[in-house]
Amino acid sequence: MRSCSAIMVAGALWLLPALAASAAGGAGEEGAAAEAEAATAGAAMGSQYQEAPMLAALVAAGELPPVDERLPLEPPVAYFAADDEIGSYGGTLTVFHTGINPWADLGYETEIGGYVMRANPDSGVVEPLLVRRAELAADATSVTFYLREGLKWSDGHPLTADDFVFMYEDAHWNDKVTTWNWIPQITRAIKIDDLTVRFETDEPYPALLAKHASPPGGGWQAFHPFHYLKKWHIIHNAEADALAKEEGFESWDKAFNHHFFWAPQQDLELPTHHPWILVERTQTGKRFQRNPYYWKVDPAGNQLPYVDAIRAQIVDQETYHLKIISGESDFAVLGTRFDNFTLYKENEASGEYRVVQIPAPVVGASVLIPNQAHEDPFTRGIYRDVRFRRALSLALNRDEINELVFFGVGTPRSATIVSTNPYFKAEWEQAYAQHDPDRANELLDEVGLTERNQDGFRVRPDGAPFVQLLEHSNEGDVAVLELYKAHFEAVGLKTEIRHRGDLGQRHAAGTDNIYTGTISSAEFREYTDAAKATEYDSGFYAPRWGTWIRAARDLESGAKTLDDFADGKIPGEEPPDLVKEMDAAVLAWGSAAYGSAEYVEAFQKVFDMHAEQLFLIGSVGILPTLGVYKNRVANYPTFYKPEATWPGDLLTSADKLFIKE
Amino acid sequence: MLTYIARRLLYMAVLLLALSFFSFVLIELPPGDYLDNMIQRLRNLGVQVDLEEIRTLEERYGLNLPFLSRYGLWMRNLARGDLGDSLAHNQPVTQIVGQRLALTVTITLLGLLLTYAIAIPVGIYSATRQYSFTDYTFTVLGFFGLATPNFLLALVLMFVFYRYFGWSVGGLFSPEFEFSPWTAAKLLDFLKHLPIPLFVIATAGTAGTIRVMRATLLDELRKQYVLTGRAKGLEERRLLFRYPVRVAINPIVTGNGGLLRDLLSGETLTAIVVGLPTVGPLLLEALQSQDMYLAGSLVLVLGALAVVGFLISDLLLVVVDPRIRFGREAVG
Repeated sequence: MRSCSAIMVAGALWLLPALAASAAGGAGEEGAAAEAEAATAGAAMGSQYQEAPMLAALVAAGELPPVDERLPLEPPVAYFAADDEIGSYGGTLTVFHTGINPWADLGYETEIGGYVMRANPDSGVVEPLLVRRAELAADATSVTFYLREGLKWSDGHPLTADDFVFMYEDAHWNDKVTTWNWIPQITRAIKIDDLTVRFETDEPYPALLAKHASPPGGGWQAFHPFHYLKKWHIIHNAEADALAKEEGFESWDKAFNHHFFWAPQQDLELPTHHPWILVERTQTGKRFQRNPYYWKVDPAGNQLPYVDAIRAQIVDQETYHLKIISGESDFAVLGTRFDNFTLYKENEASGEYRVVQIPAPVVGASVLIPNQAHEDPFTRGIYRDVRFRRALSLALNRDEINELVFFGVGTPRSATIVSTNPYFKAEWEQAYAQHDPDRANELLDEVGLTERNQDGFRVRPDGAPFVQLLEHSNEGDVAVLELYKAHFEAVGLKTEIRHRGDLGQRHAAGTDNIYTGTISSAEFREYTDAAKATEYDSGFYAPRWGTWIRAARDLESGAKTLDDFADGKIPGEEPPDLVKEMDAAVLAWGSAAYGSAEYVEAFQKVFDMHAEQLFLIGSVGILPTLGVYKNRVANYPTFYKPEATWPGDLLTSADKLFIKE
Repeated sequence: MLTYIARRLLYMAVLLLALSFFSFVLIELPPGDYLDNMIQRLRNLGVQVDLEEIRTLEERYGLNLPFLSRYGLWMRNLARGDLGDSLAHNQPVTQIVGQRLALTVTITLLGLLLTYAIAIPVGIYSATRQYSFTDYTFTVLGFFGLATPNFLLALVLMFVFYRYFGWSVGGLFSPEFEFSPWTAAKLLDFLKHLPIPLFVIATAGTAGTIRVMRATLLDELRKQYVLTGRAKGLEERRLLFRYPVRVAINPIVTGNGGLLRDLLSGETLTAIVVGLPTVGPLLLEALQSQDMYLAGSLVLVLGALAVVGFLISDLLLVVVDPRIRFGREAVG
């Protein structure tokens, strides 16, 4: 019952752009700043919060301030679904990681404590979470965050506007600091007072609020403990170089990166806002203990998390699955593999766990992208011919792929936006997604690939073989690619599969042949982002066109002149008019108010063109993520939240997990 | 003797230098670099990385430097005892390797001892009872051991131990003991995890060693001096252990260096499957993610261990074989 209803809820909630709606909508309708007030716990005056027994003991011993002083003034309430329960405190969860990095089950993740904002799973509305209030300017060029009074880092120090300004000014924008800045549109970070901070952009950027409801709005991305880190930063400590040498580093930036970086985290003293604190880390394991200053409560006013500690052991990938089926793992979701589905199910009873299928926002597994800017003129001509791309799509037997590789649980579809998008059209998913080898053969003949060699494969006009090189970077994809190969060869296209360790760079440089890779809606979601959309959209299926389009745009806006480019000419390659037209639609979409007539028109034009042009060729999508949870674990994740961009997002509700004995 | 050792050490240094160069070349050979890994990871998170950003990252990690300057940089740091920083671990290589090396050496040496403990007695037994039923049994078992890939044996053993004994498999400790201080319970838990990897690693060298022991001992047993000893009334057991066995052990001691090398590589595969926190899995991971300073350093360290293994076996030979010892003294 539980998982069924949850999956339905998840399906209905998969409304990604709805985020932008709630973020930008208010501004459009009222002509005033959009505001959102946080939901807070304990409406009654002078409410008392409850805490874990181990913390109560510390309070009694005078080693810790009382819980009401540790929580912010009006602590945010964690989201509880209808079938979630108020938990009980205590216990340790055992999990297994396959590497030292934090991208692992209940590992130290940007998401695990939640973000600055959150998309409410019931309404899809973006509401404040870590902050008390968020205000998007009417012209969408700035966002102001009002922080919660009494919000604290795990060392008890207040979390303030300084921590936000510091993250941008001293980390993201400092060349010597290693970080990934996910919101490059933000160009100014201004501290208004201790509890108020404003981020400003040069161009209107309506996605500012929604972005803060996803990883860019998490700790390590939007804010970081300034009070702790400043002594290692040269801007704040003139002696930072000397301090670094004292600690055995060459220079301040090396020392700073050591103390500041999180992948993997080296400095165990680094304060955090997460539910658990990393207290021990070796080559083989990690140990986490509850954060006494964690800022969320449950609907009954109990300070979260419920679970006292997390114990993570680092094992080999195959051993990870063995640990699941032997019932040693309490919580496994980030490392589970779909092809092990039957293995997990077989041992469900003996391992005392349950396997939960969580429908995931996967646009497509092993999506094919023929390189339309291919170096070889003949290949380029063929790949640019839409009839050829349609022939490839029609040659695929998607039902067979779904049955053989995905146990029939995926959805055969073209590569397009996920179906829960409010402006989704069913015809996009169906476009050229039928198995029609006869039509594919006709199309290939029309393209001019009529001559065949003695093996029955189509050849170039000069008689040389015309081979389709499917390039992949993940051995796990080969099962699907082998079927592609069979399907393509059935219509006379000789096909070979190549593993490329450097596929990402080959693709970015436009030197690949046919790129294949899984595309998540996280990538597709970038379409909703005006500034990224251009580089993403055209860049994705022909990066050299994307380079050209971006450079041309910079020239037009005056941001750059021809002298800024090597040899004084526009880099990349000029795309055909069709692509320029689509690019214009992408821009229009990005700058229109969400849900407005212009927005819907531009949005649908882009995907109409995708459906007709098949820049990307999809096969099977909407595949489930498998969650394997021990029977004793309650309040486990069963659906992706509206703001989810990748499986790690399932951990944003980990603070409410509890052990039911 | 001292000049001999000094000369050997000099050769070793030259050999290691060549090894370091070639391992660096090998690691550079496959297309792509560490950044590809990172780009893929970012892409999965929904971050699109463009060429310009890639260039910036290349500069930060020094990946844009020509091959020889990178090698030179690595060597210069190496001279100061700094193996560089692992890109993936965000940590100095020396720290990462140090933690695992002790365990690797321990497991490998224990494996070596177990190999000898099984192979030498069995070899002697087989040789003295040639073509008997037990000789054939050991031969068949030995060939099975030789033919079974280590990883398969490890998987089968793990399954059996989990299925029929209900033991926690993989790793060296159960999760609940991972961080606890050493107690009797933890020691017991550790001992429970030890048999599978040790057994698997030991079987790798056992079959070969049995065959060598059996063959050389058979040769020796047919020699005149054995006959003479027996004719003079030496007790059979004393005769056997005093003379032919001592001679027959020579090739095993000589092969020691090679065996250590085999065990190290056997350890890699086994450790990956069984999930041991040793150097092997780290090397695989480093090669896969093209974390070149880590990978290069590991190849170098493992290479050094193998070279040291050969040196030790040569020195041991001098110790155990009086003919070599006296021969050298007579010459030098």
